[in-house]
Amino acid sequence: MDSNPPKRRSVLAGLLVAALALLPATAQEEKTEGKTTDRASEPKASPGPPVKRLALVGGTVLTITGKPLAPGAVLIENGKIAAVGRDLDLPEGTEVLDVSGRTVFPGLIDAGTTLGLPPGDDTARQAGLSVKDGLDPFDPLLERVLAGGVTAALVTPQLRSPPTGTLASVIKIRPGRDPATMILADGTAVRAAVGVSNGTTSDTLSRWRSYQALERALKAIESYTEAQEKYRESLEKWKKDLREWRKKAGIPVEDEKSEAAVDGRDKTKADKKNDKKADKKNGTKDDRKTGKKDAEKKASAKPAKKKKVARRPKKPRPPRPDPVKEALADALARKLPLRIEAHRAEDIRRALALAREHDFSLVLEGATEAAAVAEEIKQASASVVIGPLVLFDPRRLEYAKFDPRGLATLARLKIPVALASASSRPLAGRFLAVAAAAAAGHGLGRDRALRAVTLDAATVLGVAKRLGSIEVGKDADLVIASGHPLDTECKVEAVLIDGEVVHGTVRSSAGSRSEGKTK
Amino acid sequence: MNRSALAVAWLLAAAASGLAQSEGLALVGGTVVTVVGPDIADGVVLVRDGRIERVGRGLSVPPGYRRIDAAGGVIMPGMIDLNAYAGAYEDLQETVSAVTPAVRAIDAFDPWHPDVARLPASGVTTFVLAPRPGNVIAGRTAVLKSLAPAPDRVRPRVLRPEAAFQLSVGRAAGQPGRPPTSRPGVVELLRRTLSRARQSETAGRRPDLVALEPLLAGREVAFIHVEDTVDARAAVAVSAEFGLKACLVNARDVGDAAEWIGRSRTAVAFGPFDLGMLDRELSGPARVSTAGGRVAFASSAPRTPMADLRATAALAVRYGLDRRTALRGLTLTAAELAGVEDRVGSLEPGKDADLVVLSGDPLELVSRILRVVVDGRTVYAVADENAGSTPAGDAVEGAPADAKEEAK
Repeated sequence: MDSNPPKRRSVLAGLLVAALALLPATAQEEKTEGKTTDRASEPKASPGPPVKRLALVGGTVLTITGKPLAPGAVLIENGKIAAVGRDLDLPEGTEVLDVSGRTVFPGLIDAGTTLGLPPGDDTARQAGLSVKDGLDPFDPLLERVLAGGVTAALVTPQLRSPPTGTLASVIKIRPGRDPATMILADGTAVRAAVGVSNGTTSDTLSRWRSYQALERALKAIESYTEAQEKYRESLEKWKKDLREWRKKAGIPVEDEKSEAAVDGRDKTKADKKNDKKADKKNGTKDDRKTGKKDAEKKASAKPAKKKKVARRPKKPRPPRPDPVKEALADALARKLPLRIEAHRAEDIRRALALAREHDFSLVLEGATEAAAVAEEIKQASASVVIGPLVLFDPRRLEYAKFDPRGLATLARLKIPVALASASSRPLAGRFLAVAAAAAAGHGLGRDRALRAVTLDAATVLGVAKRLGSIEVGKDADLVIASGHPLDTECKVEAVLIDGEVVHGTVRSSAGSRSEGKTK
Repeated sequence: MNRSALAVAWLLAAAASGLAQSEGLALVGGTVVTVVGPDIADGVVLVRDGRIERVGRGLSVPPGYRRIDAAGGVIMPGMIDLNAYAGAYEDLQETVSAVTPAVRAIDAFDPWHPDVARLPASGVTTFVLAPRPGNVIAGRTAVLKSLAPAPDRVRPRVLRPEAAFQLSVGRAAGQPGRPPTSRPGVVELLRRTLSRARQSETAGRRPDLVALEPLLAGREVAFIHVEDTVDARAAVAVSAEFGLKACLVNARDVGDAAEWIGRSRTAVAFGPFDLGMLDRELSGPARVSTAGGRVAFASSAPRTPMADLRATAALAVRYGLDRRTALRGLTLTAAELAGVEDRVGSLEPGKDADLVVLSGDPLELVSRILRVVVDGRTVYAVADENAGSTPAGDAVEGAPADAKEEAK
């Protein structure tokens, strides 16, 4: 399918639309429904193909937002969920898949992984790496994680973020796709850290330093945005000045040659280069050494050639762009959440203090000792991403005080919790459901644990409008499995993304499968 | 010598038990998983003086017994971890020599270490403290209860100060700086040492080799650290040559050796498993069990978080291990391998009252551990609204792990 036009090609798309509009309105007028404008990234929204309808009927549907429907049915239209209910009137031409005896739930969402990115020492990576440039759609792990029922993930080049920030993007796990179309939300998160060890040592001094590094970075953002603001202002001013200057100089439209002529820059760049070379040969250096001022020199070299008009206003220089600072600035403007990895209670407190001081929306990563400061987390309305999966990952210094009972405290206070596989082995992502089960057993509770890998994860990642539950209007990213996702022996049988079966097969025949213990 | 030490400990404990409360405990309701018999729905477990008094259905609770409602949940024996370093992680390897059979893990054990008190949170009530597997013959393991010290302890915490021998094959025992440095070198040294120890006249001159006598006589189990199929094969071969009762521990990738393991009736303690593992590795327990090998589990806590033991078993079930085998592996099979099956591993009258109360099936990770009882005392309990049937006001013995953290 060549659908799914990415946002960043909107210019091209716009041109195409314009071109189509110029054509006499003929066949294209069939079924546009005006959807193209506000749902640019919606698959198959482009005019032309007829509505494709698919229904999953007879299974238990875990909608996440409501009670499980058993049996329930889901109607999918053009990759979006069009209806959910116990009994649906299916329009004619709907392809019906019988999923009786199975459980249908929304595709699971991993709130932090390096999946799809090249493996390697993540601390050595640059903070500003962009996910879309590194994403390998043919990474064989994608297929395997997908087979675990995981359809979307927050992907980050560095599991352990430097204290001062790194970027992350939300992708849909559609192996083989153009990376640009896999990315659901690019650079939607900026990650930082407070007091995270390098794995072997973690002393109070280094933790304090890392806090200070982040604090400084956040303070630097103010000057960064100020510089940006200044640049924007001076750019406006320059444009105005330039217009006036042109008026004075009598140049109606932009015309480099005549401008240069007026400005005394009647030589081309190449000429200038030659001049410079010549200057060097002719001993301009010596002039410099003798301390002659530039202006003086110019005055002597080019005696009052064209002095009628002032010099052309100089274009202001843009400040050096920095994608991480850009994202941090967005976080401080509350356009993005700032995710801070912090494990110890005191480090979590420091992160909360930063959030208060700089007024950003905070997502805590790791948060091993979150229970100890749960009330404060609640007050700051921060969310928590549990992961690296403390229940399974080899021990890190930060886990020393991990108390499994803590998750119950988070659940009691209704602090939003998402789960991240965040493993050095991205294959671990395929067991996101197992991790959720373990989190449930540690006190998060079954419902909230399921939400932690579906709707709450989507909310924390800022994609809840499209993912995380089986609701009308959301993307039809669905998993068909042998049972409840948190069951030990749950087996994923098929996965749909945007209403297409991307893994496994859905048999249209009825009949419950025997509960054999295969594999 | 050690027996006498144990006897002294027993005497002290017996003296202490006079003043300790001999309060009875009754866990009522819930499914009782005895491990030795069929599960008892809606069962009752009566506990007195730190031991299980009776197990059955519809038992009346004698007066004076404190009642703990376990309705809707599951009562099972405390789990047994066949490899842990809780209480002595840093100091469990004698690095000078690769053969240190007389080294005892118990001598490095710190009962006040917070890692010990944290074990019950994962349902582990008994664990094997092992010397680290960096030596070919690393020394003696100890079998301990996961209990913090208390002045009025009724029963000793140490079940066996000198238990199975910890051996190691493969890369773990081959270390740069001292021989052996390679896999074949490790196996060669193991063979050479065992055959010397078998020849009594040679061994007589080497007290450390004399220490291997219980191993060669088949009175003690050899816990052999293996990582993959190659290690497993070597371990099985050497065990057969010397008639060792072997249990492969920390096995991860031994599924392909299942036939050898099964044929030789070798046991395997799998784990710790993690989520980054491959299908081949995760299906190991099922394959070994099918081939006739006994299956138990090991966490290597605290190198890994301690929830691993049950999670390892659950992953094994996900990959085809029979549920009953997995449950037995967490309890009675492990007790047999550790040589403490007369004390722990099942819910039978006379055994130690080591119990775990869960909200549901122990092999479902969504089931929550609600209460852990060791020697009749609650050492871990959850206390919040999600916990369900936990009565308030039931004090947990020992300070929580948090409070003791600074002890480290």
